[in-house]
Amino acid sequence: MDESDETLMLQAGTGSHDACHELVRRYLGRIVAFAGRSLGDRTDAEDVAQEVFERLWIHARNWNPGRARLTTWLHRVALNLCLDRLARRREQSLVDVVEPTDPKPSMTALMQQEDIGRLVNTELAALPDRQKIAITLCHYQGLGNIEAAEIMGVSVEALESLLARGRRTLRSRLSGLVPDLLGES
Amino acid sequence: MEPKVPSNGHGAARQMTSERLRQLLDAYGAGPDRWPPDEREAALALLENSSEARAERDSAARLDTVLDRAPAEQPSPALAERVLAASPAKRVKARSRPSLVRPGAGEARRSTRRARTRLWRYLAAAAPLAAAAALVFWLTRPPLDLPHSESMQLTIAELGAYQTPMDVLLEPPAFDLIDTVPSLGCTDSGLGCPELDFQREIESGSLPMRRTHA
Repeated sequence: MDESDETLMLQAGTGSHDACHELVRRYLGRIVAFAGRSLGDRTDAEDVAQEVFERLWIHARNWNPGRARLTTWLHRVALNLCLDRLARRREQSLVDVVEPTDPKPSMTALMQQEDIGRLVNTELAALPDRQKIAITLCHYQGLGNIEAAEIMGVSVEALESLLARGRRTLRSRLSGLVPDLLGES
Repeated sequence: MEPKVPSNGHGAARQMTSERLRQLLDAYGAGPDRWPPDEREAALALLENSSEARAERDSAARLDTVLDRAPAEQPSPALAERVLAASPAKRVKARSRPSLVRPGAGEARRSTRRARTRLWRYLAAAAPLAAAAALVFWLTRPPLDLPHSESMQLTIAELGAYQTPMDVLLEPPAFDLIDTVPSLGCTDSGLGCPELDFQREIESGSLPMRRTHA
Protein backbone atom coordinates (compact mmCIF):
# COMPACT_ATOMS: atom_id res chain seq x y z
CA MET A 1 0.00 0.00 0.00
CA ASP A 2 1.26 3.45 -0.91
CA GLU A 3 -1.25 5.46 1.05
CA SER A 4 -0.04 8.18 3.37
CA ASP A 5 -0.11 7.69 7.10
CA GLU A 6 -2.99 10.13 7.33
CA THR A 7 -5.06 8.17 4.81
CA LEU A 8 -4.30 4.92 6.58
CA MET A 9 -5.36 6.39 9.89
CA LEU A 10 -8.67 7.58 8.48
CA GLN A 11 -9.29 4.16 6.92
CA ALA A 12 -8.26 2.35 10.11
CA GLY A 13 -10.72 4.49 12.03
CA THR A 14 -13.52 3.05 9.92
CA GLY A 15 -12.33 -0.51 10.55
CA SER A 16 -10.32 -1.13 7.38
CA HIS A 17 -8.50 -4.43 7.75
CA ASP A 18 -5.84 -3.54 5.19
CA ALA A 19 -5.13 -0.15 6.74
CA CYS A 20 -4.68 -1.62 10.22
CA HIS A 21 -2.31 -4.26 8.88
CA GLU A 22 -0.31 -1.68 6.99
CA LEU A 23 0.06 0.55 10.04
CA VAL A 24 1.28 -2.42 12.06
CA ARG A 25 3.69 -3.36 9.28
CA ARG A 26 5.09 0.15 9.08
CA TYR A 27 5.39 1.04 12.72
CA LEU A 28 5.25 -1.87 15.12
CA GLY A 29 8.88 -2.79 14.50
CA ARG A 30 10.06 0.80 14.81
CA ILE A 31 8.23 1.35 18.08
CA VAL A 32 9.51 -1.92 19.53
CA ALA A 33 13.03 -0.95 18.48
CA PHE A 34 12.72 2.51 20.00
CA ALA A 35 11.30 1.19 23.27
CA GLY A 36 13.86 -1.62 23.32
CA ARG A 37 16.79 0.79 23.09
CA SER A 38 15.21 3.21 25.56
CA LEU A 39 14.41 0.53 28.14
CA GLY A 40 16.98 -2.14 27.37
CA ASP A 41 14.40 -4.85 27.90
CA ARG A 42 12.48 -6.76 25.27
CA THR A 43 9.45 -7.61 27.39
CA ASP A 44 9.01 -4.02 28.53
CA ALA A 45 9.51 -2.85 24.95
CA GLU A 46 6.72 -5.11 23.69
CA ASP A 47 4.42 -3.98 26.49
CA VAL A 48 5.05 -0.36 25.57
CA ALA A 49 4.50 -1.04 21.86
CA GLN A 50 1.24 -2.81 22.57
CA GLU A 51 0.02 0.10 24.67
CA VAL A 52 1.07 2.58 21.98
CA PHE A 53 -1.00 0.73 19.40
CA GLU A 54 -3.98 0.41 21.72
CA ARG A 55 -3.93 4.19 21.98
CA LEU A 56 -3.42 4.46 18.24
CA TRP A 57 -6.57 2.43 17.53
CA ILE A 58 -8.58 4.63 19.86
CA HIS A 59 -7.05 7.73 18.29
CA ALA A 60 -7.78 6.51 14.76
CA ARG A 61 -11.52 7.08 15.17
CA ASN A 62 -11.00 10.79 15.75
CA TRP A 63 -7.79 11.27 13.84
CA ASN A 64 -7.17 14.86 12.80
CA PRO A 65 -4.68 14.78 9.91
CA GLY A 66 -3.58 18.37 10.35
CA ARG A 67 -2.49 18.15 13.96
CA ALA A 68 0.71 16.08 14.01
CA ARG A 69 2.69 13.65 11.94
CA LEU A 70 1.92 10.07 12.81
CA THR A 71 5.58 9.26 13.45
CA THR A 72 5.84 12.19 15.85
CA TRP A 73 2.67 11.15 17.66
CA LEU A 74 3.72 7.50 17.94
CA HIS A 75 7.19 8.31 19.25
CA ARG A 76 5.88 10.86 21.71
CA VAL A 77 3.43 8.36 23.18
CA ALA A 78 6.11 5.69 23.27
CA LEU A 79 8.58 8.09 24.87
CA ASN A 80 6.14 9.02 27.63
CA LEU A 81 5.46 5.37 28.37
CA CYS A 82 9.18 4.62 28.43
CA LEU A 83 9.91 7.55 30.75
CA ASP A 84 7.18 6.31 33.12
CA ARG A 85 8.82 2.90 33.26
CA LEU A 86 12.29 4.35 33.71
CA ALA A 87 11.02 6.50 36.57
CA ARG A 88 9.41 3.47 38.23
CA ARG A 89 12.68 1.58 37.89
CA ARG A 90 14.56 4.38 39.61
CA GLU A 91 12.04 4.42 42.46
CA GLN A 92 12.33 0.69 42.79
CA SER A 93 16.10 0.79 42.71
CA LEU A 94 16.05 3.20 45.66
CA VAL A 95 13.97 0.74 47.64
CA ASP A 96 15.75 -2.42 46.68
CA VAL A 97 19.01 -3.39 48.28
CA VAL A 98 21.30 -3.71 45.33
CA GLU A 99 24.12 -6.19 45.56
CA PRO A 100 27.36 -4.76 44.22
CA THR A 101 27.87 -6.38 40.87
CA ASP A 102 29.79 -5.69 37.73
CA PRO A 103 27.41 -3.50 35.72
CA LYS A 104 28.41 -5.01 32.42
CA PRO A 105 29.93 -8.23 31.18
CA SER A 106 33.68 -8.31 30.99
CA MET A 107 35.25 -7.12 27.78
CA THR A 108 36.98 -10.44 27.30
CA ALA A 109 33.74 -12.37 27.53
CA LEU A 110 32.03 -10.05 25.12
CA MET A 111 34.85 -10.09 22.63
CA GLN A 112 34.99 -13.86 22.81
CA GLN A 113 31.35 -13.87 21.85
CA GLU A 114 32.08 -11.27 19.20
CA ASP A 115 28.92 -9.61 20.38
CA ILE A 116 29.80 -6.04 19.70
CA GLY A 117 26.19 -5.19 19.10
CA ARG A 118 25.25 -6.29 22.59
CA LEU A 119 28.16 -4.31 23.97
CA VAL A 120 26.96 -1.18 22.21
CA ASN A 121 23.45 -1.71 23.53
CA THR A 122 24.83 -2.14 27.03
CA GLU A 123 26.69 1.13 26.82
CA LEU A 124 23.73 2.87 25.25
CA ALA A 125 21.48 1.66 28.07
CA ALA A 126 23.95 3.06 30.59
CA LEU A 127 23.66 6.61 29.23
CA PRO A 128 21.51 9.18 30.97
CA ASP A 129 17.93 8.82 29.79
CA ARG A 130 17.69 12.02 27.76
CA GLN A 131 20.99 11.41 25.95
CA LYS A 132 19.99 7.83 25.23
CA ILE A 133 16.60 8.88 23.88
CA ALA A 134 18.08 11.64 21.75
CA ILE A 135 20.52 9.22 20.11
CA THR A 136 17.80 6.62 19.67
CA LEU A 137 15.47 9.07 17.98
CA CYS A 138 18.05 10.65 15.66
CA HIS A 139 20.53 7.87 14.95
CA TYR A 140 18.44 4.71 15.20
CA GLN A 141 14.94 5.93 14.37
CA GLY A 142 16.21 8.26 11.66
CA LEU A 143 14.08 11.22 12.69
CA GLY A 144 15.03 14.77 11.78
CA ASN A 145 16.29 17.08 14.49
CA ILE A 146 13.16 19.24 14.54
CA GLU A 147 10.87 16.24 14.92
CA ALA A 148 13.10 14.65 17.57
CA ALA A 149 13.24 17.92 19.50
CA GLU A 150 9.46 18.20 19.30
CA ILE A 151 9.00 14.67 20.60
CA MET A 152 11.33 15.33 23.51
CA GLY A 153 9.93 18.76 24.19
CA VAL A 154 13.28 20.52 23.91
CA SER A 155 14.86 23.05 21.56
CA VAL A 156 16.99 21.98 18.62
CA GLU A 157 20.06 23.41 20.37
CA ALA A 158 19.33 21.37 23.48
CA LEU A 159 18.84 18.28 21.33
CA GLU A 160 22.21 18.83 19.66
CA SER A 161 23.82 19.17 23.06
CA LEU A 162 22.25 15.90 24.27
CA LEU A 163 23.34 14.14 21.10
CA ALA A 164 26.92 15.40 21.30
CA ARG A 165 27.32 14.53 24.96
CA GLY A 166 25.86 11.08 24.44
CA ARG A 167 28.06 10.29 21.47
CA ARG A 168 31.16 11.52 23.27
CA THR A 169 30.37 9.29 26.22
CA LEU A 170 29.80 6.30 23.97
CA ARG A 171 33.01 6.91 22.11
CA SER A 172 34.91 7.20 25.35
CA ARG A 173 33.50 3.98 26.78
CA LEU A 174 33.68 1.97 23.59
CA SER A 175 37.18 3.10 22.72
CA GLY A 176 38.48 1.05 25.60
CA LEU A 177 36.55 -2.01 24.46
CA VAL A 178 36.76 -1.91 20.68
CA PRO A 179 39.60 0.55 19.97
CA ASP A 180 40.39 -1.00 16.62
CA LEU A 181 36.87 -0.42 15.38
CA LEU A 182 37.06 3.19 16.41
CA GLY A 183 40.50 3.65 14.90
CA GLU A 184 42.08 4.38 18.25
CA SER A 185 44.28 1.36 18.70
CA MET B 1 16.97 2.93 9.27
CA GLU B 2 15.16 5.55 7.35
CA PRO B 3 17.28 8.50 6.25
CA LYS B 4 15.75 11.83 7.01
CA VAL B 5 16.51 15.32 5.98
CA PRO B 6 16.94 17.31 9.15
CA SER B 7 16.78 21.00 9.58
CA ASN B 8 18.39 23.09 12.24
CA GLY B 9 15.18 24.93 12.91
CA HIS B 10 16.87 28.28 13.02
CA GLY B 11 15.14 29.59 9.92
CA ALA B 12 18.40 30.77 8.39
CA ALA B 13 21.62 29.00 7.58
CA ARG B 14 24.49 29.59 9.95
CA GLN B 15 27.87 30.52 8.65
CA MET B 16 29.82 27.30 8.36
CA THR B 17 33.01 27.17 10.36
CA SER B 18 35.31 24.40 11.47
CA GLU B 19 33.76 24.68 14.91
CA ARG B 20 30.22 24.40 13.57
CA LEU B 21 31.17 21.45 11.38
CA ARG B 22 32.66 19.74 14.44
CA GLN B 23 29.41 20.35 16.30
CA LEU B 24 27.44 18.78 13.47
CA LEU B 25 29.72 15.74 13.40
CA ASP B 26 29.56 15.37 17.16
CA ALA B 27 25.79 15.59 17.27
CA TYR B 28 24.57 13.96 14.07
CA GLY B 29 27.49 11.82 12.95
CA ALA B 30 29.17 11.61 9.57
CA GLY B 31 26.16 11.18 7.30
CA PRO B 32 25.27 14.41 5.50
CA ASP B 33 21.67 13.24 5.23
CA ARG B 34 21.45 13.59 9.03
CA TRP B 35 22.69 17.16 9.06
CA PRO B 36 20.33 20.13 8.97
CA PRO B 37 19.53 20.66 5.27
CA ASP B 38 20.21 24.36 5.32
CA GLU B 39 23.76 23.75 6.56
CA ARG B 40 24.54 20.70 4.51
CA GLU B 41 25.91 22.34 1.40
CA ALA B 42 28.29 24.64 3.29
CA ALA B 43 29.46 21.78 5.47
CA LEU B 44 30.27 19.61 2.45
CA ALA B 45 32.17 22.49 0.87
CA LEU B 46 34.27 22.90 3.99
CA LEU B 47 35.02 19.19 4.03
CA GLU B 48 36.39 19.37 0.52
CA ASN B 49 38.80 22.07 1.50
CA SER B 50 39.93 20.84 4.90
CA SER B 51 41.85 17.64 5.59
CA GLU B 52 41.41 18.24 9.29
CA ALA B 53 37.65 18.36 8.81
CA ARG B 54 37.76 15.13 6.79
CA ALA B 55 39.70 13.42 9.57
CA GLU B 56 37.01 14.42 12.03
CA ARG B 57 34.36 13.24 9.62
CA ASP B 58 36.07 9.81 9.35
CA SER B 59 36.27 9.50 13.11
CA ALA B 60 32.56 10.22 13.39
CA ALA B 61 31.88 7.65 10.66
CA ARG B 62 33.68 4.92 12.63
CA LEU B 63 31.54 5.62 15.65
CA ASP B 64 28.44 5.47 13.43
CA THR B 65 29.54 2.07 12.14
CA VAL B 66 29.97 0.70 15.65
CA LEU B 67 26.60 2.09 16.73
CA ASP B 68 24.94 0.53 13.71
CA ARG B 69 26.07 -2.91 14.84
CA ALA B 70 23.73 -2.79 17.79
CA PRO B 71 20.76 -4.98 16.93
CA ALA B 72 17.25 -3.66 17.38
CA GLU B 73 14.54 -5.60 19.14
CA GLN B 74 12.11 -7.18 16.73
CA PRO B 75 8.43 -7.59 17.51
CA SER B 76 7.36 -11.15 18.09
CA PRO B 77 4.57 -12.63 15.96
CA ALA B 78 2.49 -12.95 19.12
CA LEU B 79 2.79 -9.20 19.71
CA ALA B 80 1.63 -8.45 16.18
CA GLU B 81 -1.36 -10.74 16.73
CA ARG B 82 -2.25 -9.05 20.00
CA VAL B 83 -1.98 -5.61 18.44
CA LEU B 84 -4.14 -6.56 15.47
CA ALA B 85 -6.66 -8.30 17.70
CA ALA B 86 -7.31 -4.97 19.40
CA SER B 87 -7.54 -3.03 16.13
CA PRO B 88 -10.76 -1.46 14.81
CA ALA B 89 -10.69 -3.95 11.93
CA LYS B 90 -11.09 -6.87 14.34
CA ARG B 91 -13.84 -5.11 16.24
CA VAL B 92 -15.77 -4.42 13.04
CA LYS B 93 -15.26 -8.03 11.94
CA ALA B 94 -16.49 -9.33 15.28
CA ARG B 95 -19.60 -7.15 15.09
CA SER B 96 -20.42 -8.27 11.56
CA ARG B 97 -19.64 -11.96 12.03
CA PRO B 98 -22.69 -14.07 11.03
CA SER B 99 -24.36 -16.26 13.60
CA LEU B 100 -23.65 -19.97 13.71
CA VAL B 101 -27.41 -20.62 13.94
CA ARG B 102 -28.51 -18.90 10.78
CA PRO B 103 -27.37 -16.02 8.63
CA GLY B 104 -28.76 -12.70 9.72
CA ALA B 105 -29.87 -13.98 13.10
CA GLY B 106 -27.67 -11.48 14.82
CA GLU B 107 -29.25 -8.61 12.95
CA ALA B 108 -32.71 -10.02 13.61
CA ARG B 109 -31.94 -10.28 17.31
CA ARG B 110 -30.69 -6.75 17.37
CA SER B 111 -33.78 -5.57 15.51
CA THR B 112 -36.06 -7.39 17.94
CA ARG B 113 -34.15 -5.97 20.86
CA ARG B 114 -34.49 -2.48 19.42
CA ALA B 115 -38.25 -2.93 18.86
CA ARG B 116 -38.66 -4.25 22.40
CA THR B 117 -36.78 -1.32 23.77
CA ARG B 118 -39.00 1.08 21.78
CA LEU B 119 -42.15 -0.67 23.09
CA TRP B 120 -41.02 -0.35 26.68
CA ARG B 121 -40.26 3.27 26.06
CA TYR B 122 -43.77 3.88 24.71
CA LEU B 123 -45.33 1.98 27.59
CA ALA B 124 -43.34 3.92 30.11
CA ALA B 125 -44.58 7.14 28.51
CA ALA B 126 -48.19 5.97 28.13
CA ALA B 127 -48.72 4.55 31.63
CA PRO B 128 -48.79 7.88 33.45
CA LEU B 129 -51.07 9.35 30.75
CA ALA B 130 -53.51 6.45 31.09
CA ALA B 131 -53.56 6.78 34.87
CA ALA B 132 -54.22 10.50 34.60
CA ALA B 133 -57.03 9.95 32.08
CA ALA B 134 -58.65 7.35 34.35
CA LEU B 135 -58.52 9.72 37.30
CA VAL B 136 -60.10 12.54 35.30
CA PHE B 137 -62.86 10.25 34.06
CA TRP B 138 -63.59 9.05 37.57
CA LEU B 139 -63.75 12.56 38.97
CA THR B 140 -66.01 13.92 36.20
CA ARG B 141 -68.33 10.95 35.63
CA PRO B 142 -72.18 11.77 35.73
CA PRO B 143 -74.08 10.42 38.74
CA LEU B 144 -76.38 7.43 38.17
CA ASP B 145 -79.98 8.73 38.37
CA LEU B 146 -81.93 5.54 37.69
CA PRO B 147 -84.09 4.47 40.62
CA HIS B 148 -82.94 1.37 42.29
CA SER B 149 -86.19 -0.52 41.78
CA GLU B 150 -86.30 0.21 38.10
CA SER B 151 -82.76 -0.97 37.61
CA MET B 152 -83.58 -4.13 39.47
CA GLN B 153 -86.57 -4.71 37.25
CA LEU B 154 -84.48 -4.24 34.20
CA THR B 155 -82.00 -6.68 35.52
CA ILE B 156 -84.66 -9.28 36.15
CA ALA B 157 -86.15 -8.66 32.74
CA GLU B 158 -82.83 -9.44 31.20
CA LEU B 159 -82.89 -12.79 32.90
CA GLY B 160 -85.97 -13.76 30.90
CA ALA B 161 -89.22 -15.55 31.84
CA TYR B 162 -89.60 -18.84 33.60
CA GLN B 163 -91.38 -21.43 31.52
CA THR B 164 -91.37 -24.19 34.07
CA PRO B 165 -94.42 -25.24 36.18
CA MET B 166 -92.20 -24.78 39.22
CA ASP B 167 -93.20 -21.13 38.91
CA VAL B 168 -96.46 -22.17 40.42
CA LEU B 169 -94.74 -23.05 43.64
CA LEU B 170 -93.47 -19.51 43.95
CA GLU B 171 -96.89 -17.99 43.58
CA PRO B 172 -98.45 -17.20 46.92
CA PRO B 173 -101.94 -18.32 45.81
CA ALA B 174 -100.60 -21.78 45.13
CA PHE B 175 -99.87 -22.36 48.79
CA ASP B 176 -102.34 -22.88 51.56
CA LEU B 177 -100.42 -22.87 54.77
CA ILE B 178 -103.32 -24.21 56.85
CA ASP B 179 -104.27 -26.98 54.48
CA THR B 180 -103.19 -30.31 56.06
CA VAL B 181 -103.44 -32.15 52.83
CA PRO B 182 -100.34 -31.93 50.78
CA SER B 183 -100.97 -30.88 47.31
CA LEU B 184 -97.49 -31.33 45.94
CA GLY B 185 -97.10 -34.84 44.66
CA CYS B 186 -100.51 -35.91 46.04
CA THR B 187 -102.46 -37.58 43.32
CA ASP B 188 -104.65 -40.04 45.18
CA SER B 189 -108.08 -38.50 45.41
CA GLY B 190 -109.06 -41.18 47.91
CA LEU B 191 -106.70 -39.66 50.38
CA GLY B 192 -108.26 -36.30 49.88
CA CYS B 193 -105.75 -35.03 47.47
CA PRO B 194 -107.10 -32.07 45.55
CA GLU B 195 -107.59 -32.45 41.92
CA LEU B 196 -105.38 -29.98 40.27
CA ASP B 197 -106.13 -29.05 36.75
CA PHE B 198 -103.35 -26.65 35.82
CA GLN B 199 -104.49 -26.12 32.31
CA ARG B 200 -107.96 -25.10 33.45
CA GLU B 201 -106.60 -22.84 36.11
CA ILE B 202 -104.27 -21.21 33.68
CA GLU B 203 -107.03 -20.66 31.23
CA SER B 204 -109.21 -19.22 33.97
CA GLY B 205 -106.37 -16.89 34.94
CA SER B 206 -106.06 -18.05 38.51
CA LEU B 207 -102.67 -19.61 37.84
CA PRO B 208 -100.38 -17.43 35.75
CA MET B 209 -98.24 -19.33 33.37
CA ARG B 210 -95.80 -16.51 32.78
CA ARG B 211 -94.44 -14.02 35.14
CA THR B 212 -93.81 -10.79 33.42
CA HIS B 213 -92.40 -7.53 34.46
CA ALA B 214 -93.67 -4.26 33.40
